[in-house]
Amino acid sequence: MLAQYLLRFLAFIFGGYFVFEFFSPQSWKESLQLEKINPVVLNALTTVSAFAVGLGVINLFITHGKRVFGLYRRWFFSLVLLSSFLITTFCGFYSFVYIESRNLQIKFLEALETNSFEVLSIKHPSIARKIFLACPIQDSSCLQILKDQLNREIEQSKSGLVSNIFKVLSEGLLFPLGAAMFSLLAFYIASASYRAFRFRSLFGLVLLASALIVILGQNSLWLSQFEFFLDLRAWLLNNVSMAAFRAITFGALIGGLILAIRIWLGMEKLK
Amino acid sequence: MKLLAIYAGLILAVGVPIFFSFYVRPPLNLAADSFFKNVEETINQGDITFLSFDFGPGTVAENGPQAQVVLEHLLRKKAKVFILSFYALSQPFLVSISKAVEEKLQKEGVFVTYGQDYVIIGFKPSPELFLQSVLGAKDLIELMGRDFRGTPLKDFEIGQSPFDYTAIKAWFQFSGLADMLQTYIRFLETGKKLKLYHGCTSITVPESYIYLDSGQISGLLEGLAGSSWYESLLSKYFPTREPNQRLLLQFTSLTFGQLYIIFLIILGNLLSFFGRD
Amino acid sequence: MSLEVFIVLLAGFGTLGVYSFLIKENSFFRLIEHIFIGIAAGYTPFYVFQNFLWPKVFVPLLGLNELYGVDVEFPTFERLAYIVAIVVGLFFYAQYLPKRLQILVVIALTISLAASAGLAIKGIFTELVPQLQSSFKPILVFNPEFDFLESLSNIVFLATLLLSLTYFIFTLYSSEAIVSRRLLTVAKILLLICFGAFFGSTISARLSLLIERLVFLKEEWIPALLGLF
Repeated sequence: MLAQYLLRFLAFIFGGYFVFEFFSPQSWKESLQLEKINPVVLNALTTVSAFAVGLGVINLFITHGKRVFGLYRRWFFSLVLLSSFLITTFCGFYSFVYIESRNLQIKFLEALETNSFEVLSIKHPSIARKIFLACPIQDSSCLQILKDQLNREIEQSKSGLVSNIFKVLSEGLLFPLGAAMFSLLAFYIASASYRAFRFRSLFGLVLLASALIVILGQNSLWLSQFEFFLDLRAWLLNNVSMAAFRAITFGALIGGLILAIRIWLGMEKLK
Repeated sequence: MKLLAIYAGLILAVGVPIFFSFYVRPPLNLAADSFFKNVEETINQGDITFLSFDFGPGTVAENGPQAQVVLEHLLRKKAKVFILSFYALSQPFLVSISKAVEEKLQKEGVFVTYGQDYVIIGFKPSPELFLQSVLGAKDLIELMGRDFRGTPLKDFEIGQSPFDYTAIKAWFQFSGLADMLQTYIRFLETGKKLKLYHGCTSITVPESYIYLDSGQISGLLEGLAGSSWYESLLSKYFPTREPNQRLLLQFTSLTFGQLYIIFLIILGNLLSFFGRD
Repeated sequence: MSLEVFIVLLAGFGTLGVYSFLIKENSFFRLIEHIFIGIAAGYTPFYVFQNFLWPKVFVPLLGLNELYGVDVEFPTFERLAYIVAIVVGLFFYAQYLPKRLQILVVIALTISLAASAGLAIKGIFTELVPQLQSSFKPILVFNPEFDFLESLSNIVFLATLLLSLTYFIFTLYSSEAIVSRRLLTVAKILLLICFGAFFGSTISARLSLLIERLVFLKEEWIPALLGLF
């Protein structure tokens, strides 16, 4: 019972913040400094959602790990999946950590121009230690050489082995395979057009006629040469189709609004 | 066996124009025509514009050419262009499309400089967060911070003067993702506070018309047909320009593919009518 | 062979491997499918971390804002907010813990969903109101003379809108309690015109995807393959 009240209270507070922020007048927003707090709140809430990504990863490992270690049928494909996942993640994170650690050192060196080393080393001890080990702090030419070296290392890493592997995985596999998977739908549309699309009644005929007007209105070879046909297509999309879809949208938006209010007020049971 | 014949027919129908490289002239597309004229008349030299490439490999076939033609138009008009995306998988396209347009313009002697005429902000996660911040930020250069390589925007000529959302002449958004357009409309309060132009995939064309009618979007490009007509208008307004052969080729293939699908529908119905399946 | 050529060749073979599914499901397709899922699954957490968690959360949390030249208005509030957010985010993983700790998952879900609901309430109003406003079209249009076509279009628009809305009323009354069956048939026809437009548009969209891949194969993959010999 206490848990239910706690959940309703949390839902009310976190949902209510945005409702309050939207409906409150500008003077209230200024006095409460909502415009400065808002980005922090949004970032924090997005962070909560971002952590849910890990759940998918864990699930992937549990499902495919069972197949690999249990030597189930087609365990090899599960091994390939997990391997490609691990390689992609490793390459991505390795490049990122390599570049970012050097970036931070460069920024520390830039900050030394306006702040003292002692002050900065208290705030960023690990970066200060790396710089201190590489160069005496008083030697500005050594610091400049260090900065140039770090920039060079960053540039070199962009064409290094790990970066190249990541490039092959993303540009050679992820993007083209994604596009190819989506393009399979064209074949299914073709087979559905032949096998399933039957105009046995008035309704089927209306559907087909409407589809034909929309397709042929943007087809170079036929009816689109006649301005009347182009106007007909535009009229259809701007009046009938638009009105019907707007009606559907109203229903969806109002339904969404009702559901959102129910969630905000804790009327939807989440357990 | 029959299925294979259908698939082979489809590949033939769309493949013949590609492999034999012949083109048809794209027909007038009223929405793209209006989009082009709006941009031509309202965007002037130095105007600040934003381009969002919110598409990935699944919709690059339609959104990529749209982004390319609009970016080319804006750069020819010497507008200041900020390119960003809220979709992680779009990152390579931000660079490849911009580079392709820059190289094309340079071949014609239209010099475009990165950091002066355009800058690539890169991927920004959480569109709700960023778009809400756009309306509230006093300086959008500070909000965006850096370009995709990590260089502070203030280091570029384009980032020298601070500006807020009132200085944005137009925002061009290209996406086929569900709900992405609605996110812009909701959090940018488009129509009231900002002018939004939308390039959609063919699937969301009927849906986009409701926003065009309400004024929440100021222009619409309908998939490949829209970008093809836009391309032909660019050639008309800038006669020395070399046409985008790849786009025209794709549109020609689409034309033949559509006719093939219509043929299949009619054939299937005729065979069914005469009792043969 | 340069890296770019290797990437193009790999992309082309991958594409053809995917299309091999059209002939028959085969091991090559399965292999490519699993590689694709693995890479896609690996790409997302990395990008979420690189583009959001690190610059927006961990940089301020570790006090690195200053090095990045970012002025922070309320550093203490910001750090506290992110620590709480990380703790609540970790609550999602309580589903792998004993049952009595499952309430933590529900807390994380509640916060996420309530925030989304709050944002949705805000967003729906900004989206819905202009749609409602633009739906009020004049039945008689004068430009300055009476424009028959425009008036007819508006009448058709309003009729379609009202009939379609009526068709979908399920909650309080059945649609037939409000309008006659004939009018509902008209509503159905008008809705089917809309769905026909969607179908026609979908055909174009799907074909465009296939065409893009074929153009890639012809203009990039085949020259790269021939370049090997």
